[in-house]
Amino acid sequence: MRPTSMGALRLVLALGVAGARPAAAQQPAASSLDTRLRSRVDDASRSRIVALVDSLAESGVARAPLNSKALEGVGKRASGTQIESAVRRLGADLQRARTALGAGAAEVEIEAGADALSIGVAPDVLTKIRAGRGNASALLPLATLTDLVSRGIPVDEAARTVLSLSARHSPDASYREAQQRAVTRERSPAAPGSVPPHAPAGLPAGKGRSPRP
Amino acid sequence: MTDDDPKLQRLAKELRQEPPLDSTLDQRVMALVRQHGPAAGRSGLVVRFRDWLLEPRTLRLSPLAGMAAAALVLIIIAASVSLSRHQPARTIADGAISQPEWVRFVFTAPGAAQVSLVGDFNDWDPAATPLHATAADGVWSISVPLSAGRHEYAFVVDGADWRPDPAAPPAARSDFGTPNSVVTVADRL
Repeated sequence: MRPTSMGALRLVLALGVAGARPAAAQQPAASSLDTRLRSRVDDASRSRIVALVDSLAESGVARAPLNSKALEGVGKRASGTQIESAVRRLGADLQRARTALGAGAAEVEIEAGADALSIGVAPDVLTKIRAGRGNASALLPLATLTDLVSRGIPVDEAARTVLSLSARHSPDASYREAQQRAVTRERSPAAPGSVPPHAPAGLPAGKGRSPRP
Repeated sequence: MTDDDPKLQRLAKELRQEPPLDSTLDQRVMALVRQHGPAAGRSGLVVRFRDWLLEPRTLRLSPLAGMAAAALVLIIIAASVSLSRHQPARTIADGAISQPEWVRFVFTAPGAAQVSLVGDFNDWDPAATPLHATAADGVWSISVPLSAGRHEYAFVVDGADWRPDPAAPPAARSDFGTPNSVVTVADRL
């Protein structure tokens, strides 16, 4: 191996190290909303959607979830009107969630709260959950609430469960266990009883729910 | 002229005599040596080590040894890539997870030629995150780093068929007809 080949070796090693970096490899840069819309919807719809996103962003709504909703519509080959309506609904829910959760709420909490509102959870439930969490994030309780309702648990019952867990300052595992019981209940609709506010110990997360290897 | 010539002998005698030296020459030479010579002590070792590193040299390797060295380098690179791709990743079935973490997505699609993951984390771009076929027939998977938040996603089979993840909670909204799934990555606020 001659001295001149040492540079080549360093290059190979550098490429190897670069190839080993995983973090950004699966996360492409955000596409331009306008460019993606141009490929799918007519100019008039595109202008309306972009203007709607700009307007909502100027009113304080985070731009990222709005852009994502529009791009989801592009990917699913929705019409310009459908995309505009979906962005408008999401923007309204995000505004309501921000009002319910308070000015100090994190964006991830606001997005989770907007999801909860979209399936019928009352804004005051969001306010209570946020207040009950103190300085801790309300993301997990809000997400659990939405997941429970999505799994078929009635809204009032799901709200009672999550508020109870939140009031008791339950650990994150308790929320996962509540979700697991909702899954079990969803798969066995005839099973009696509701989701208890206290999670019995010994139900490991991830069991009985996944068909994955 | 012979060796016995007195003139020649006198000339040779004069040439053999050392020229007269300045009495301060030794001191001046030693001063210059101390000023420009190799450093003493620890810094001298550093300089010698640097010189050793920078000095070009030739290594003689047989073709077999060269191939073995190249194979070793490739094995090290492959191992580092493999380790980075197989960090412990939670599955969606584990429920909410801490941030930021690698999340393993698995989807069963017998007969599919390709499966990709789309979601709010990759701008819903079917070309961005293709799944890899596993050893199990019809089972596809990929691990993706996700930030804290509630992420909606779906799988796209053969470029056009959007499907939710049967192992994950359904998304609250279904604005465009085909439902999404949700994974929540818990934050630590």
